[in-house]
Amino acid sequence: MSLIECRSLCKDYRRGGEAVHVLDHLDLSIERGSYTALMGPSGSGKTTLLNLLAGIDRATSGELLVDGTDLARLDRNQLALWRSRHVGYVFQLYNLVPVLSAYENVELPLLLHDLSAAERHRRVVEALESVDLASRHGHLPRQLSGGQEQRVAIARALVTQPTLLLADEPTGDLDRANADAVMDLFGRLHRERGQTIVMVTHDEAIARRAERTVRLEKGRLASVEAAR
Amino acid sequence: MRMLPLEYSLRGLTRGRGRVLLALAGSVLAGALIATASAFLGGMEAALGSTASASRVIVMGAGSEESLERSEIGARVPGVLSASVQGIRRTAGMEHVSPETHVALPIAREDDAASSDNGLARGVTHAALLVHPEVRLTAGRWPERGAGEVVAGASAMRRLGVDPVAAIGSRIELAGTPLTIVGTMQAPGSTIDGEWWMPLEDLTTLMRRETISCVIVDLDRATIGDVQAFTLSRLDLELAVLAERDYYASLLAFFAPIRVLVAVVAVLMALAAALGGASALAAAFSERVRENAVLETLGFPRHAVALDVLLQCTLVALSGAVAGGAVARWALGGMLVEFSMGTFALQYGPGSLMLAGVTGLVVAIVAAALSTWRWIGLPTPEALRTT
Repeated sequence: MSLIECRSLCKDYRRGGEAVHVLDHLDLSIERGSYTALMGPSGSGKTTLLNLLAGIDRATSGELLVDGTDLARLDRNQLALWRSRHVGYVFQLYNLVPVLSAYENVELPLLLHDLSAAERHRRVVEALESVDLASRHGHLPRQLSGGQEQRVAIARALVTQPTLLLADEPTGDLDRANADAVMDLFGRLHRERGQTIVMVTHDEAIARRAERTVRLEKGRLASVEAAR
Repeated sequence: MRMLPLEYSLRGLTRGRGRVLLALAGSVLAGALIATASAFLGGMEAALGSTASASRVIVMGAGSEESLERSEIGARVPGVLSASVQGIRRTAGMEHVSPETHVALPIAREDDAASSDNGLARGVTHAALLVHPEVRLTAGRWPERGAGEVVAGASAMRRLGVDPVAAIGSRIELAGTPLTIVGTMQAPGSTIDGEWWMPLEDLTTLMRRETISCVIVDLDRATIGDVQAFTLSRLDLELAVLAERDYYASLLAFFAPIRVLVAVVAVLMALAAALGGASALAAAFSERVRENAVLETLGFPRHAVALDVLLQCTLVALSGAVAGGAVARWALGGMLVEFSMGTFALQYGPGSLMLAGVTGLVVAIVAAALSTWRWIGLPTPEALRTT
């Protein structure tokens, strides 16, 4: 059964009184445990689709089911709660809270869960170990390199054991070595944990790391390619 | 509801330190101004209020326009009044009928002409202590008639720079007449605390007048109506009678424009400081639009993030304003303010600090509203793209 079902999904914006169809009756299914790269030219709607999947934006029409939940039926607070349970989001610019240490940044989303302090600690340590940054737990974001910051951001996204890991150009701000390290990490998460990953990227080489590549053009599904 | 941890709020304040400090300074100033205005108004009200008693009436000149300093009545009025009105309070056979003269005169320490000031002198007899039970002789003795002696109120001494410890025996000049301080008195919170008391006859002689200002009568069984009946039956004496409370209430009303002016000026100045503080705080927080959106993306509800901003603003503005009130209290508490009825002390009570706190809360709410305005107006995906 598909984890994500998009049926005739539309997202319109109004720009200067004119309607812009960012997503235009998009139909797409993403299987549980799959690793998908979303590609397409700028303005093709890939980040908009990612935001809809994350529940931080709403579709204009159509249906979006994630793990059986129709996101259109949830109000703002229910969506926030749903995100905290089901979504891990990795940003291009890491977006760590600058005044919190790596440990505290990773712990932040766990504060939304009913967990004991000991359980939170166990999970944070495990998440930091999974990104090889256990030794940097006390560092503030400004004391870390870009690659390390992104790995902390990934640990933050994983620590809640989300149903869905979403990443918006996670290597867009990294050099090749760090980008490879992040992609290795994603690959490992997918292989070892069966983590469902949907990643937006402009980079063909990065996209080839995924199981399949979904290409969007003008808000429509252009192609779905399996990895070679 | 899931809130952001307090640790996050506290550390959040370490960012944009310049602006946060500016906001803190604005809140301190606003809190100090509001607390001081409140202390001024409260001090004046308390001084006039605590000087009055429900059982006392003031018999004064009919044409004095209810001003004791302008009032003049015959020196025989106390005796006639005492004989005519039944039911005046008595203690050990003495009727509570106090003939008094109230005048504002230039006063200076004899050893320092530069200390010249205006002081309120009150000519009294022993009966004054019966009708003003709040007065306590704290050192020395009662002044003797014809000996050039005076009793000094605690606030009056402070105002003139007389050391209360060494006050007895020191000399002052009242309207150029040298007098010796033979006693000190206290009447906390009352305008009397800022007065100089001397024998009634000495003051009338000094003023070269044959009249007195008023008679203060403490009623027991008698009512103010009885005293009014007396004044109406003796139209030749040209008397008017007022309940002491009404007299001081009318004084309070007389000073209302000053009180309103003080309040308005303080509020305007505090408003300027508060708005400065609020805008500095708002500027510090409005840079966090993207961070707020990230918190939302992590799953924190929007109101939890907004409440966190409010909490941070409150921590700065409330602590600043209350500190401002406390600093003002420490620096200015008890400071004497002169007015035509004598002096009163700035009274920083719990109410003053509470008003300072309320000011801080208003600053916090305004700052939080200003700083979250932009973020709340943006959809989360757009907020995530802000720099």
